[in-house]
Amino acid sequence: MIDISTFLQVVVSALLLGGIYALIAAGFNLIYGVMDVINCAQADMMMIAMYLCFWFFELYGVHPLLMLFLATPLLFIMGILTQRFIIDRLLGAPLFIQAIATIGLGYVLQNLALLFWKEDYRMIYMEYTTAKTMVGFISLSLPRLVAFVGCLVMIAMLYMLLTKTDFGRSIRATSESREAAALMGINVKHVYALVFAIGAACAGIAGVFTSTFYYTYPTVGAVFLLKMFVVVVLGGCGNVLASIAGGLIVGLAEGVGSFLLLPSWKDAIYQVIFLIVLAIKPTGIFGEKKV
Amino acid sequence: MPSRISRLSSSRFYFPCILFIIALLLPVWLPPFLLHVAIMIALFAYLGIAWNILCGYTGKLGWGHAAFFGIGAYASTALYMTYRVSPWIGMLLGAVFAAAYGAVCGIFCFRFGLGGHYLVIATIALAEVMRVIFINWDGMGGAWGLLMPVVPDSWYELQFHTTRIPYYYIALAMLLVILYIEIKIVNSKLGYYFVGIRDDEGMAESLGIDTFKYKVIAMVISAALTAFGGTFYAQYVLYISPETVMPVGLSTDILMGVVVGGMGRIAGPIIGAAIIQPIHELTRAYIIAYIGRGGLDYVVAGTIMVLVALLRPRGVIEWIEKVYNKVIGFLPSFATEETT
Amino acid sequence: MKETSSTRMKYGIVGLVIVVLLIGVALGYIIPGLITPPAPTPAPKIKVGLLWPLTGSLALIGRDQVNAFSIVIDEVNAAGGIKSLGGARIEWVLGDTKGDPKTGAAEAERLITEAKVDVLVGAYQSAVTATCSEVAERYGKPFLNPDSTSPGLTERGFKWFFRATPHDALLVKNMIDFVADVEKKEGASLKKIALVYENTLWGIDTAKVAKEYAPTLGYTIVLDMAYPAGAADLSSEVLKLKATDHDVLLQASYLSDAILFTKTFKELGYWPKMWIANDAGHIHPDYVKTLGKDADYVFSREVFCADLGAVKPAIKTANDKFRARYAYDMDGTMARAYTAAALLVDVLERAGSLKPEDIQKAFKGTDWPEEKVSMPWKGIKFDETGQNVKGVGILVQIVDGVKRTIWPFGLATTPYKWPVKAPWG
Repeated sequence: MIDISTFLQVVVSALLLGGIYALIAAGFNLIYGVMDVINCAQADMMMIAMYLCFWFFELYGVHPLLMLFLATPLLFIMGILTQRFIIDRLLGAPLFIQAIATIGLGYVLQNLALLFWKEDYRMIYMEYTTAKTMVGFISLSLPRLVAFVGCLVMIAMLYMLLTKTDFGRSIRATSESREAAALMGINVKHVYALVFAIGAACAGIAGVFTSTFYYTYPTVGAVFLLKMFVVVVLGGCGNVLASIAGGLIVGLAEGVGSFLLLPSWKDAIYQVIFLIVLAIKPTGIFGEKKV
Repeated sequence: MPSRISRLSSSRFYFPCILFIIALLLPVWLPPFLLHVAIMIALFAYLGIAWNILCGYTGKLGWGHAAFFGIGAYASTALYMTYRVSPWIGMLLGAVFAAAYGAVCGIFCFRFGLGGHYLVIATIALAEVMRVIFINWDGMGGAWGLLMPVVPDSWYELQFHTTRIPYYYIALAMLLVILYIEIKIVNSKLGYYFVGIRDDEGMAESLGIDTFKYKVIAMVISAALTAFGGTFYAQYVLYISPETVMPVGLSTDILMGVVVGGMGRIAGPIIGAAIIQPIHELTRAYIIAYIGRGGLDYVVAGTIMVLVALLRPRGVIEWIEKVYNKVIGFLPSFATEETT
Repeated sequence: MKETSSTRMKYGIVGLVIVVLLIGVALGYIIPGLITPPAPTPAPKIKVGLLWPLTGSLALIGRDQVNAFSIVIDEVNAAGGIKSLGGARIEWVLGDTKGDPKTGAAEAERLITEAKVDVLVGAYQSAVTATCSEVAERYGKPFLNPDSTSPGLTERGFKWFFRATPHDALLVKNMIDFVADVEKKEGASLKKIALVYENTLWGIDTAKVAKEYAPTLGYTIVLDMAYPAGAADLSSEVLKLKATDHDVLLQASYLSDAILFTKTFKELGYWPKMWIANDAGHIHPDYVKTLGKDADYVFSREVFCADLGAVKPAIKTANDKFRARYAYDMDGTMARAYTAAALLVDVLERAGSLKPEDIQKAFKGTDWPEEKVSMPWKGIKFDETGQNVKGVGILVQIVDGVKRTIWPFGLATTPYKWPVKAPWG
């Protein structure tokens, strides 16, 4: 029989994994919840952040976590530019057109990365990235633990931003009704630009954390994108807090599932769980759009 | 009333005929590599139309057509390798299996009234599950895939090696058949219901149309037709695996063409495929191999997608239409004098 | 405004003339293609088509091979080209297979029909090689395969396919033979084998041979675990290994998974009693580059090791040349590409013509002695299926970041280190 300690280890590792998925989904949910825009390039923006971490480590020996202070603002700016030039014009468009545009953007990002940095797998390998701590008999990979905590912190911060600040209030007002918000004097264009930028910044933060334990390459986004979608829909589209629930479930499904069954079924397990949840509660566990 | 002769000799009629004749004679002139590109265009135009029937007309966007494609490919290949059944028959069975899975997907998705992004992700999930099933299905070659035995040229076994020209004609024929099917559907009650669902589902329901039934029908038809394309591909490449015939990227490739060309339009998928496929093939062949770095074709394709989404969300077909009409108007019609 | 019939006629005639002109120009441009040009007289340039994944997840390997290949060709060209063809220079043309069988086939066809190559070389992934060589067979062009190890490739009855590398049926057996040898030498019992392999063609081929061969020598496969390549996390897989009682771990992974696995081993405190990798990821220079000390002590089946230069001059020469240009040692894949290039040059010299049949004959007549091959092989000689029957495999171990040949014991440059604790303590 499977012994408890191993099983617990599996669960813990799986949960840590789930935290990362939640992190990536949170930014996406923010954008979708407020702007009704599907950003398929979310994972590719994360890829850019991962590369930034790698190159700064490789060339200048900068600790990846320090990149939080560099990658985040860079991606924030990237978000603003993307919003201004592309997303802005897609605001009223059918979801499909948005998806196509952002997928196209994703392709461009991926393949520019491929052109400049080649297809090699880049991994940051240093003392920190292979460190671990023991809690009892459970081994916790340090970078993953930090990433998990970081994710929770980030989502909490987002939540506070949305609920406790004035700016958050304008965001929520705008997400409720663009017209009403405009009538109330809120500069909707600014709100949108900032929201998208924050979403991009979230992808950046996710990338920074992920670069501490995973390798990056031009199409690494694909590994996370599909899962991100499932996390988003599972938790509830547009619901930032629910990203955590969705992420943990997908992480558990993947980790525990592949341990109990066979790893080669890994990709199907979380999809099946997702389909089951869809059948039971189509709007996701926590319902829609409670930004 | 314009007489029959004047109708036939009008440019609106004979110009498409000229295009058709050129398409027929193309293989005679094209070098093998460009012939391959033409075959790819025909295949993806075909797949695009199959996808269009569901997604363009009912507005229900599926992103899992790779599963149907793969089922078609696997069914005919497995039957051939085990029982030497001709792929022509195999493709019919493939279509049946794909239709069955299409029904499953359709019933599941539409029973719960999924639409929009939920439908997209659900169809991806359903396609991924199928892909993982095939990866783990050792009887079907598992992740290794199936390598088709190479036989001398044969129509029965659908393999041609001395020249690839027969593949072109088969693809062209398939394209014409599905074009005909598409036109027939669009002009029938079925098509009317489909478009009704797209434009306003609630209203359609209230008018007494069983939208669930018609959405499932659309999915089933789309699935079955896509499967034929899978068999064709299997006979063309002679090697299939879950990674090559069932990945999500393939679904994206199929619909990319349709979206760029024009969704919900009869010729949209053809135009889209004619734009996207050459980009992939030609940039890879003539640019990538020389600079030794990849990705250029997707940069171009990606940029086109963004531009189309921003500037011409209804597809490039609008421009093409204008140009086409201009050309037709410009060409002389050999009509007899009409006395009024 | 009503058009009069005369203006209509004018437009009509003008339009008709233009259309006819256009069609005429088009035909005039295209028709020369209808007349096939006469067969080309031997050109002063020899064209070799290289089919490798230049993009996609294995592009690194594609690039490595082109690099290795080009060293030989550049050298030959500088020395005056192929003498028997009047000093003809060799030019290589790249075809990007993207690691995809259909793309590979399309590229093969393009290289043959448009670039007019005389020989094709490629294509690493066995599935891609399968479709590419099928195209070559169709056109009757020689196809030299340096690096695909799926046994089925030489079982198709092809006449134009020549594979220089030994294939998995031999190479994977090496891994198990090594275990048996160690058992004998150390008096140990290592009967339980765990198989971990990526769920693709190559991984499955590896597992298939292992599963067939191991039981015949008295070993049991206690874990048969295929995992999806490129996974985001391998904790469950490693934990499954930990939960299974086994003595030997046989692993088949490409570079990124290999690195991630090792990392996860460290994190979760797993270290197999004996760990043998099947080439690919674990022997790639970047494996050691990334993992540093943590890459130590893994055994791997290989086809080549730079340290064999000490016992075989041909290997030393080859590796030195490569090292001079690229500053690192060749691994098995690069070495095979290098050797293939050398073989090709020799074949062309012996053929003395660019006619496909002559090149084919020259391939068939190849009989290299052991000293000539810059690989640990016994020589190069193709049987009727196109397989080189004189290839052998070796086993290496990474110690202090350097790969050392440790098996067959007769060929070993250093003794193996076993049993050994994990490099991270």
